Amino acid sequence: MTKVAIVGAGIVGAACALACAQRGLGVTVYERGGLVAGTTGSGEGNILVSDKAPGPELDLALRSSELWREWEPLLDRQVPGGIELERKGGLIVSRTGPVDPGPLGTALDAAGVRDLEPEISPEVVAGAYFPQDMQVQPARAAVAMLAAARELGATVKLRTPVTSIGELDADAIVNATGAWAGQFDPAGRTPASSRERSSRVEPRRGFILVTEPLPVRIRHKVYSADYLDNVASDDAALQTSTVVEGTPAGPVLIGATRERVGFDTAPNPLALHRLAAGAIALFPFLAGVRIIRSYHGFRPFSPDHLPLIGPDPVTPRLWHAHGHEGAGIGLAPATGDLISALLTGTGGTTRLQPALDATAFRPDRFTTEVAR
Amino acid sequence: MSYFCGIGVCQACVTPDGQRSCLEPAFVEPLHFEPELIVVGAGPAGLSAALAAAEAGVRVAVVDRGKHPGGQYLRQGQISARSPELVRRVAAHPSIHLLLGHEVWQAQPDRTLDLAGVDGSGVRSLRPDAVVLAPGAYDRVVPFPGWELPGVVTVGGAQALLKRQGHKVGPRVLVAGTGPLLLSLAVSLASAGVKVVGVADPVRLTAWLPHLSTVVRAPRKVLQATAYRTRLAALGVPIWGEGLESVTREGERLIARLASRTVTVDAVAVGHGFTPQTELAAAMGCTLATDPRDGSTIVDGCPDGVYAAGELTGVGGADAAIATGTLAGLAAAHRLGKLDDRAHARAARRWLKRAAAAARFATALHAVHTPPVSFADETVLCRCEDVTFGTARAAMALGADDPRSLKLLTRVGMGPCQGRLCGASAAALLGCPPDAYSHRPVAVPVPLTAFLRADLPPEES
Repeated sequence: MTKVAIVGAGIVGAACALACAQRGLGVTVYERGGLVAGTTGSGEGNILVSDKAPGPELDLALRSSELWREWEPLLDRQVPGGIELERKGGLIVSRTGPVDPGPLGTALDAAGVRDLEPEISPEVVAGAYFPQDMQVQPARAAVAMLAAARELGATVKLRTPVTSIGELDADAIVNATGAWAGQFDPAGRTPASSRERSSRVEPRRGFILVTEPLPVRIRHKVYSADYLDNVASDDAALQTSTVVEGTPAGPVLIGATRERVGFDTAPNPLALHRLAAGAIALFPFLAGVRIIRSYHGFRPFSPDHLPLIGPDPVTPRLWHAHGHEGAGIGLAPATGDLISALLTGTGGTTRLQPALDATAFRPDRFTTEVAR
Repeated sequence: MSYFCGIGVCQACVTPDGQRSCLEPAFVEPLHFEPELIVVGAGPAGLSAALAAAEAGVRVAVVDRGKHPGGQYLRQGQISARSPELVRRVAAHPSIHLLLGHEVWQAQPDRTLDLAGVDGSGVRSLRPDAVVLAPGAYDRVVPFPGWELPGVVTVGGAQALLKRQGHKVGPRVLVAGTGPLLLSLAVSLASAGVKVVGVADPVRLTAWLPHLSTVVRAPRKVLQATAYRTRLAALGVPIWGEGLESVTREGERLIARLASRTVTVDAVAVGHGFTPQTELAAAMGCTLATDPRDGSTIVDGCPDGVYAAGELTGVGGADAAIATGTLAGLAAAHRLGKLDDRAHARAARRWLKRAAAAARFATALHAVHTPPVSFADETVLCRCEDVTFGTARAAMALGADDPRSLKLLTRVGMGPCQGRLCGASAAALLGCPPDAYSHRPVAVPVPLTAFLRADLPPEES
């Protein structure tokens, strides 16, 4: 039996574990922390197609959405309360002009936006609606994937750091360490210098404000059109675009900021100020709502905004599955499925799509920048 | 009205408009000077720190969420000739400004403090040269079946509501848990005309026998305890040496079951010691540690210009708070150049001795009053999110072994109290130190508008 070692038990590692176990591979997951200790525990749980332009990432997102729906009953059984997969729909809004709905969305005028979100600011003049967008409780989803993989024979080793892949008895080792992937050095030299790293992924910090539990007043994932520009930007400096959404438990989550400041955990009043201003501009009633928590997380930023999925061009046995930036929750099932397909020699053929083109995600696209 | 802690900590009494029913806004005069030192907390520790620093020549502002100074121990209401001496001296001092009805809701290691009124008004930011953190503590309640029911309140909450608003938690009340505060509350309630059916504390006087050498060195404590017991006997309030096992609700009444008896009451006041308020210390970069005496999270070291005092340095009561508060005030005055090394050392000497003596007595008190530790699956662990110990154990079976993963899988500590009430119990269940529950960058819930800064542009240009 082919043995796969997966390093990292976040949503991507967990999805790789489940997909590989489903294809009959012998799976062991190594996690240096506890459950959901990294970015998966800090995310909003986005499963979005609305923020992706046509191309390989949208293809991956569409595959992933199908897999989320397919895996939902299995995952709901694994954790108390289920994974809270909500088919809530996404709404992009603008205070300046029309929003391009792309091939999947529906263009809305001001009245159309207000029909979907009655409490939206009167300043919003247009929008686009994407019924395919979903939200999930990401921590429970990751833990449910690990539990489902264990039912199929996988082993999950928490609080077990991997310092060198040489110590692992496996035919393939998958680097699913997310925002920490750039620090992962297959030979175990620490700290890894840029010459030794196998990935150029680095952290991109984001803050979230959490309100007190509220009755449902925001029905969709609502975000301002400039979010798309910020996601696509390479700028290291602070960028903010407003994302507001309710949760089944009642609190409203307010995002999203992006800044490349390494793993800095210091608070940033400017980031929180912009989140507050942006949220009030979209939903004026939020001004009087109380905030009970603020927190931050680190997205795995990839230089070309596409994940790395596939074999390492240099180190034998090493595979990559990371670099999804803010889309890791949504893209995890398709990433796991693709990794398992590639490992079982079925090329880019996944169960859902006979010929998903994995070329765009090949890690060797950065080869000229990585020391050989 | 539903309430639990009664002092603004637990968020259980928040009304739909975001106000905590247990707090009242206070009239605040504008600051007429720029404070060199800000003291957080106007209990015995904070007031002692403010007075010590002010007498050395420091300009001090004291922030407290109460409408009147004094904290849980000294709070009496309007300042008058009958107020405790410490309160009167602070109120009369020209270099001390009291910012009452206010809270620090966010703090940074560079000593930036963000303040807001308890009603969410008057948000402002201050950055003094020195900060004394003396936020005090609130009741720890060890979960038992029924502790989430309306009518179950903390001992400190019942005391605060009575002292401050003249509000009686019920005509018939059971006082239960463990610790000396139970007797004090029972006396206050019974003297106010409340029918206290009994005080249930499984710790008997004989538990003090191994600590006699400490007890004889604290005659004031013995006299006080004797006075409470004599007064309760005169008021006809029995003291039962047995623990409260469960509470259920039947209509408007609560049925409280003890080991050997069942009583019907309107309210149950419970307390099992105290939990220091550590979120500001954590936010300011203080080193946190676990006090081995009672398992609470305390401060073990502070960054430059930040000082901790009172219960934050180890739950020890008013004597310890006055001593550690005075020491913190002196240290702040020394840092600000108002006391030289010799004057500081000379002034500090006797307070160090008093702090040590108070700590000795507190150590014995913690050893005697150990709270219960076994929890049934059906018992509620997290009141805000209604999560039972059974659900928490199910998450632990899936691999959750730290506060963060337990929270993410079950919502324990994710609700309005943010782990203030359940953190100690959850940490005990996980077998980990409770300090993870101290990290709350938003130290007190505030309106979203509090994050807006007048000095910053509203949106990106």
